[in-house]
Amino acid sequence: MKSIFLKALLFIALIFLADKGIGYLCKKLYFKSNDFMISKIRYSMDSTREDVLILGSSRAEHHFVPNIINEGENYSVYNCGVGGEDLLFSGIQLKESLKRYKPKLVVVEVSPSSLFMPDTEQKIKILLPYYQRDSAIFNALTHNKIAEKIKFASSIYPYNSTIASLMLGVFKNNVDTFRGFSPKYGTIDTTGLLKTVYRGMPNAFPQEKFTHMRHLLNTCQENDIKVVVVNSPVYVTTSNYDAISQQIKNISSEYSNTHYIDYSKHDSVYNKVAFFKDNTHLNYKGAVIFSKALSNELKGIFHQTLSKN
Amino acid sequence: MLFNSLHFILFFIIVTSLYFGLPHKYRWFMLLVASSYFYMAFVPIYILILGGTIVVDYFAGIWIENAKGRNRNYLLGLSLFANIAVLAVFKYYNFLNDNLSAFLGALGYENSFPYLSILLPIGLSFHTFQAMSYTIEVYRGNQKAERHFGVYALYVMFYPQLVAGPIERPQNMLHQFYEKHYFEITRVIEGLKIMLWGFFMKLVIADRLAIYVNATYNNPEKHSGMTLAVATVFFAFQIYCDFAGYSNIAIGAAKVMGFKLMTNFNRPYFAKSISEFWKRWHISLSSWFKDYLYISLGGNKVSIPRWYFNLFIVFVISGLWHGANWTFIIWGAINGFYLVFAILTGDIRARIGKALHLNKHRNINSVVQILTTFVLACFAWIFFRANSIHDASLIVSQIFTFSGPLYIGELQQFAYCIAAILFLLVIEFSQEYFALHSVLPFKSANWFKEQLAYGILVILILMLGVFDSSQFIYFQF
Repeated sequence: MKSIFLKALLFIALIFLADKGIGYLCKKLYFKSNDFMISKIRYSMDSTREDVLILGSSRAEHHFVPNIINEGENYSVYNCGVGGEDLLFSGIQLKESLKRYKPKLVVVEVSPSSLFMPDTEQKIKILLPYYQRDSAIFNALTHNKIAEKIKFASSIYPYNSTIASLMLGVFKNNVDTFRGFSPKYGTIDTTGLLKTVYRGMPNAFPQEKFTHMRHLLNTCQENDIKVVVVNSPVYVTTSNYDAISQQIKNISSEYSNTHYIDYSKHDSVYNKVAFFKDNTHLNYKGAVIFSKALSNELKGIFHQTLSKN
Repeated sequence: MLFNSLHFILFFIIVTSLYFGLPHKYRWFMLLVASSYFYMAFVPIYILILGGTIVVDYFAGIWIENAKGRNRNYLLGLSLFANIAVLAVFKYYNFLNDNLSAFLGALGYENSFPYLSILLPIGLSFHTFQAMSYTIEVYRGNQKAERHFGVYALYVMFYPQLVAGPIERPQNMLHQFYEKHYFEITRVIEGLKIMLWGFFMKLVIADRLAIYVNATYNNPEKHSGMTLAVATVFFAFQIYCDFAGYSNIAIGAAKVMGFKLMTNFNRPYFAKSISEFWKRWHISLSSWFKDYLYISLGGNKVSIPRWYFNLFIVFVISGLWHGANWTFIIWGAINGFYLVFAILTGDIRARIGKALHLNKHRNINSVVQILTTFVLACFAWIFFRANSIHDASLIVSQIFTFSGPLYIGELQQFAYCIAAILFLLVIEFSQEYFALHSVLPFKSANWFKEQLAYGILVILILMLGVFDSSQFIYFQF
């Protein structure tokens, strides 16, 4: 009996040590990984110094081409957009950047498509490795629930589900030629699309998402940073899409430093199969066209802001 | 309270400690209070429904035992009616009402019955069936009526199997509440290991596969036949690991306290026929239907057409037991059809096998039989998982085209799914063919090797588990 107890204790002690050891190794791998997504998040949290930061979800990640937005200009641009993430995540990225410097301009993609993304509470867990950094990050991850906080007793937990990226990341080269932009290739299959589009768009306004949007715009206003809220293109819109877009416009107009641009039905790409990968994502060709149009508009509106040294 | 939550882990530690800390005569009371708390953690008010059926069945058991002649039949009928009425109101009323509306609508009439906005009490079908097994066994004279109300209530409410089984029988459970269980460290550790394997099945395999399955099955029109076929295979393993994982946690938690619950799953995807599959899948429910419905209908001791009917109708009702939806009824009907078809073609298949000398190639024959059974089970699972009949027919038509690209989603996520399934198959293959242990994933004469294997299991849960406290699929039944 006594020996079994001792063995059980030994087992628990070994698990504890293994957890600490593997957790430490994962941490080392995470902060050296060349995996595209990990290194992008790491860069946006720790290293951005660009004049223009692009924030948002996959629609930011796949739509805004920094190399085209600053083509022929002397300001730098980085695309911090991450697929599946909402404005709570973008707000955290911005606050981390503000600890280092103040960007001249923040471009944030906000559209009905990105506001209605599902499972964002789970997706924010991409920030697990940063849980010790800031109380805002910790609260976003735990929602102040004890059950969530206890999980951090494990050193492995912050790297949950990333092991493949961590291992493969060691063998990859860190080549971020697109400055955070991730191109999509191929064109949209429009078969049965309308049905899907109408099924996928609820009628209720996502008030919680608007709260995150306001927090982000407040942060920019407090720090005297110009903001452009861009409602980027979709292949086809629905009636309530326009109503929610109007809400986004209204919130943007509450802030004197914020400019709203509605590109959701931009002539150059709207309803054109050749420029979309799916209903809510431009393909590379579409992203280039959209980024050129946006670049011209930004230069027109923010010429003075962007040309300042 | 979900098994895969920290709330449960804390609950389990406290209840187990109290169980061994208390004198034997108070243990039933503590377990009853703990089980009530466990149940009330979902929707507190529904404890009243559970309490109501417990009171009815407790007295029904005693009266049935004391009654003579036809009165016994009436009392059993009353008890069964009370249980089925609760199921009918809470689980099937809206389904029946919807279908009545559709039927009357087609005839040009309007249905005036109101729609009930009620939440299905958690695990209703499980504890109702367990309660019914008690009165039926008392009626049949296989079980003495339980005089101790608290112990009878505990038989229905014992927390490890309260909301998702195994659906126990009174002969197996009631006497265990009177037995004194000591703290035996080897048994406690074995129970914990079974629980650990259950957590692994749920968190690492089922919930990981669910991400891909949900992405495809919730938007079937967006996906190719190839993708839907892969998602169906993933779902077969998801539902197995979700439910068998739950059963293992329940069996392990009970074992820690010294209770022995019945085996609920026995590596069903190694079955060589649909008939064998049903002897390995959700055994406590399959045997319930066999003992209390199939045999009551006459089983196979009737005319051949009636036998086929008995088999078919039992599976249709089994489908309906799972959920108030036509998808479940069709799922049950498909399985019933498989069994009838297997009997009808038994001779022909045997002759073909003999002509092809399959008995000389037993291993190949076994592999073909296992794969065929798996494919047939997967086809039926389409209807179980699809959100509607329309979606199910769309998926079936898409799958048989075998066309289109395979949706991978996140590559590493897809790789985890494949690795999880392979890991499970390796473990189950070794259990099936090397008989190391029927439930535990690892068993070795070398203490260190065995503990290392369980240690790796813990680390894998931390590294690859999906910790979003998602519900167990069978909770909805």
